Amino acid sequence: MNSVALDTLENVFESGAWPSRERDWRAQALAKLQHEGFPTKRQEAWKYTDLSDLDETPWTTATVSEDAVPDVALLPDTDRVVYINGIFDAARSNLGELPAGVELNPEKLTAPAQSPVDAMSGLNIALARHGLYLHVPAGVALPRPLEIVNLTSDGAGGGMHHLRHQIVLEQGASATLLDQSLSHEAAALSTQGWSIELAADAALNFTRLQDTAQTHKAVDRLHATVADGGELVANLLELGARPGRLDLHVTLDGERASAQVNSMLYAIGKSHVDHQIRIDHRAPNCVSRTQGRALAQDRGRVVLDALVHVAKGADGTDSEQQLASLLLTPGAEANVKPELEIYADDVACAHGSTIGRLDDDAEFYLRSRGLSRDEARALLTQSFVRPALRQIPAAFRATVKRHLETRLPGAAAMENFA
Amino acid sequence: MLEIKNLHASVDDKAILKGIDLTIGAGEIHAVMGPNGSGKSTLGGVLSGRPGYVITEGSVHFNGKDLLEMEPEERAVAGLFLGFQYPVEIPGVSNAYFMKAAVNAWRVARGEPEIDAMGFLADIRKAMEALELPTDMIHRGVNEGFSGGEKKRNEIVQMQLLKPKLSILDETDSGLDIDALKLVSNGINALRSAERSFVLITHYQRLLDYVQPDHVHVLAGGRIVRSGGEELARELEERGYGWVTGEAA
Repeated sequence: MNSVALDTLENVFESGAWPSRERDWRAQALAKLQHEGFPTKRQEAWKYTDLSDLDETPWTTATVSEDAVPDVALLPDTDRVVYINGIFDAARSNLGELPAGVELNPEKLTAPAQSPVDAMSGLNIALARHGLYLHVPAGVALPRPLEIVNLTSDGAGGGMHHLRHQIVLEQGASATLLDQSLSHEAAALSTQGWSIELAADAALNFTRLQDTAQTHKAVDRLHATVADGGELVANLLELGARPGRLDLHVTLDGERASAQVNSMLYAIGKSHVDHQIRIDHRAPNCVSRTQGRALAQDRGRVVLDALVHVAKGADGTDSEQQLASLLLTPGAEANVKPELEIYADDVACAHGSTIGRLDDDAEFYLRSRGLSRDEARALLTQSFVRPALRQIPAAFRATVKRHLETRLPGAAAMENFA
Repeated sequence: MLEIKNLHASVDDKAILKGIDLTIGAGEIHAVMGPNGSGKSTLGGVLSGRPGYVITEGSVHFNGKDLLEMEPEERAVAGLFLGFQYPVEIPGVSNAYFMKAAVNAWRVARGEPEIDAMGFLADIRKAMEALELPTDMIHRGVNEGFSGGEKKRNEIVQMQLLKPKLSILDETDSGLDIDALKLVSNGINALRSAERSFVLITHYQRLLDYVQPDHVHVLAGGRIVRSGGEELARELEERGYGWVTGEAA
């Protein structure tokens, strides 16, 4: 295949010194990428997000330059696992004592449960060296929120790195996670793969905050399965990168399992952010809620595809999908698509999407009371995104607000997200 | 306080105001009455700076300043308040946050320090209690889920907090039952002083039983066709608008 990148990747892979037990599945994953090539707009799932220019860069393993490590403010009372360029950084991490039976290993990779679903996930599986392995035994709640910090430090540009995480919560276990991806100005590429399994009645609140530079490419994928009565809350904030892409696939696999997906995308400047959300109802009486808020300004572009698939036999499904986009300036673009596929009877599924601008009447009302045009617009924009922020745990709100502040003036003063 | 001279305004190239002359002195209450479509709400909109109107002729001065050159927020903090005929619902922006921002904008414009959170909460609670609005509405979205009457009362709460020099109340009385009308009237009367002026835009004489105007004007076809004292409102109530607008009653 005529690709600078794929030729180089072959060399990167060969020089990887992988443990022999990992070689097979890594080679298979690389073969998937080599066979399919990088995604292009001709593929439906990549219609609005073009990765074909990945071909043109001889991607090498990113090397750390100490003066280009993004700052991360420390949160009180949280555990923290830090990766720099896909490698665990013990010095920056902070792990307190965990309950007996909890296994938390920031460097453990297990063989993937399934072969890569696409070329980018092939790249991730082939080359990820580290990743968080978290196993919480039945009935145990993680005592503190856990942060996973994924830093890119790439002075020269053209570097890439990969992480693959696996989270297993056994029956009735619970955890609160924050996944942050940050970078300095560098033309780097990162991928993250998440595999999450929630056993019966387990509960996970997962917050993702991707705020890398507009020169960065972040292509991530998260798969979650939720068993009977399990509960997944996913707060997904896609704020940076070009593109910043997350494929989220949730399978509600046991009765009364539930998923709440709150997606907020904000493309500013030249950034391009993309969420592909798929929720599969495969068991009866499951509940899913999707709240999507997509904002674009300047030359920014947002893509939000959300599909709810109700399988045959998944009777009693209760699903709602509410997607809305807001174009803040001319020249910005939003592509938002809600989709429903229903093969069961007796389901309650509602979906809707709106695309719009800020309400002129509301803006005038605020200004008529003395708020400036900018203040009024900031307040209205905050009110627009609020539904997607409601379930962000208190421990992470200050962090999230700090990142929102650069796009939403006044966000730091938002009283709360409720 | 307010001097309107030969004001012409149009919407989408259609002339609505066709030469309004009106002078409002400090401490005065003026009622502007008139049939539907006479331009009453347009007058309120033009004075407060609502987008969508084109001023084709005339001038408006507010305490000596050219009002028409000012942004809506500049007019507001200079002391001008519009009570909306249809107050806007803004879910996700709390009443408390919004009104505190507004109060502080006015204070800053007057060179005063910003109000502290406790002082503000005490003020808004007091104002809401006076208008018999449940105080848990303080933390709800602006006008979110309020009934029509509650929205109108909330306008008066805002007016109480901002203490404007000139309040233009656009049909604040419509849609109110008699108890709410009394509460709103009390709210207006409580603010009456030698420095504050009011323009009451209304269809009905009802409000004027509780808030006594100094002057009554009839707006018809974009012009003030008749001005008089309080007795004019009563006459209109009895005889309709036809005899002043020249149409059949």
